[in-house]
Amino acid sequence: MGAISVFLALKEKLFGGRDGASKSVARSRLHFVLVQDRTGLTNEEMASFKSEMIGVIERYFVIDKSGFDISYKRDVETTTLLINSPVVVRKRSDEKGSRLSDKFRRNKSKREEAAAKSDKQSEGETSGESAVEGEKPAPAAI
Amino acid sequence: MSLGNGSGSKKNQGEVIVVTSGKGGVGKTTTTASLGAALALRGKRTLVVDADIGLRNLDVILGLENRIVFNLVDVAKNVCKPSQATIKSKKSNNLYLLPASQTDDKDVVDESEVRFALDQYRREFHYILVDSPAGIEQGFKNACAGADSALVVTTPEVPAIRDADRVIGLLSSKGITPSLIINRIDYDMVRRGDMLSVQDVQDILGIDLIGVIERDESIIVAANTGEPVVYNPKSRAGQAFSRIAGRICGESIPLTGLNGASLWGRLTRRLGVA
Repeated sequence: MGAISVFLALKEKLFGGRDGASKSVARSRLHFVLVQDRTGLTNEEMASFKSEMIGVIERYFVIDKSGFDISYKRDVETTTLLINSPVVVRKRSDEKGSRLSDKFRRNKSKREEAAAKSDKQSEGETSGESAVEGEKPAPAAI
Repeated sequence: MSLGNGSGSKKNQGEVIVVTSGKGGVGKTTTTASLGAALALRGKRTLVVDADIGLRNLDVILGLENRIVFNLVDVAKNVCKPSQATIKSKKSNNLYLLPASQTDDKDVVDESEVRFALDQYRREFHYILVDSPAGIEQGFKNACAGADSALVVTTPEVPAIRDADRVIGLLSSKGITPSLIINRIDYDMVRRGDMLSVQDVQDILGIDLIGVIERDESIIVAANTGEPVVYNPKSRAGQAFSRIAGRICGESIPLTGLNGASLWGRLTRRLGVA
């Protein structure tokens, strides 16, 4: 017992790597405050910016809203507003797309259904026009 | 790597570098004193300026508190000649201090007065390091007024990084792209996942890194005695400050060991060998 705990302590000291450590919390909290600080937008403004952005993107794509993320990245020369939106499919309105869309709809998860539903509400698109470009949701930076 | 942005670093003119951070207590004064001493050790005539009017401390960090006659405000207001206000360091003929006034308020001088004061030292010194007060108000603006370039000091903690980010934004709007110093890193904590790594901080702040200082007890000992840490050859922090001074002078000194020492290095350090 003693030998094992000594070994584990030594291993942690030398190689590190404890799961769920506080650094990742620090990083995500910083991410949050810095987007606010850098953009100068209030919480409410950021929330409405975010929902408007989602609205615009959803006019053309079916996206996984849970992965939607806005960041404001500074580099030595430039400052960039990064909008990261995982794209599930690209919307298209041809017939072939319709068929593929049916196939996709059978396979899609609950969350994606919710995304598609609110998409219809907000954008007023007619049903059955989403086309599958790839079967698997693939995150993509926009 | 020269820090100069081109604007003020003409030939035969010293470079004014402001040391700032936003948040207090991250090591601005220690950094200014240590880099000043390290630059002086490299043969560069260096003036360290305490711009923290009303709360001066650079004098005690350098052990020069009992020699002050005139100060930055006196030079800014033309009360004395520039050479009357500077105090020579006990340890080096190349290092001088321009102290802050302890009795005045931060608003007693404005940006053009500080610029006027500092410009008078450009001919005599290679480097003029300005220790900025914490915050982003008038004191900070004054400290940045005459600066050609900037060093932003942060520690790997959320509040310090947040404030550093704010200051970097403010400096950028003045046309200054600062270089980053990460102070008080503890590689054991980084390895355990309980401290942001050098790479994390660099990724977040997005400016060039000029050096990393490990958390080191010798800093406190140096502050106690009023003798800059770079005079202690065993101090890892002192060595790190010396390397930064080299980089300021344009020497290419690689940023090594940013993940802490190698396994062998860690073992030997643990055993007290290295």
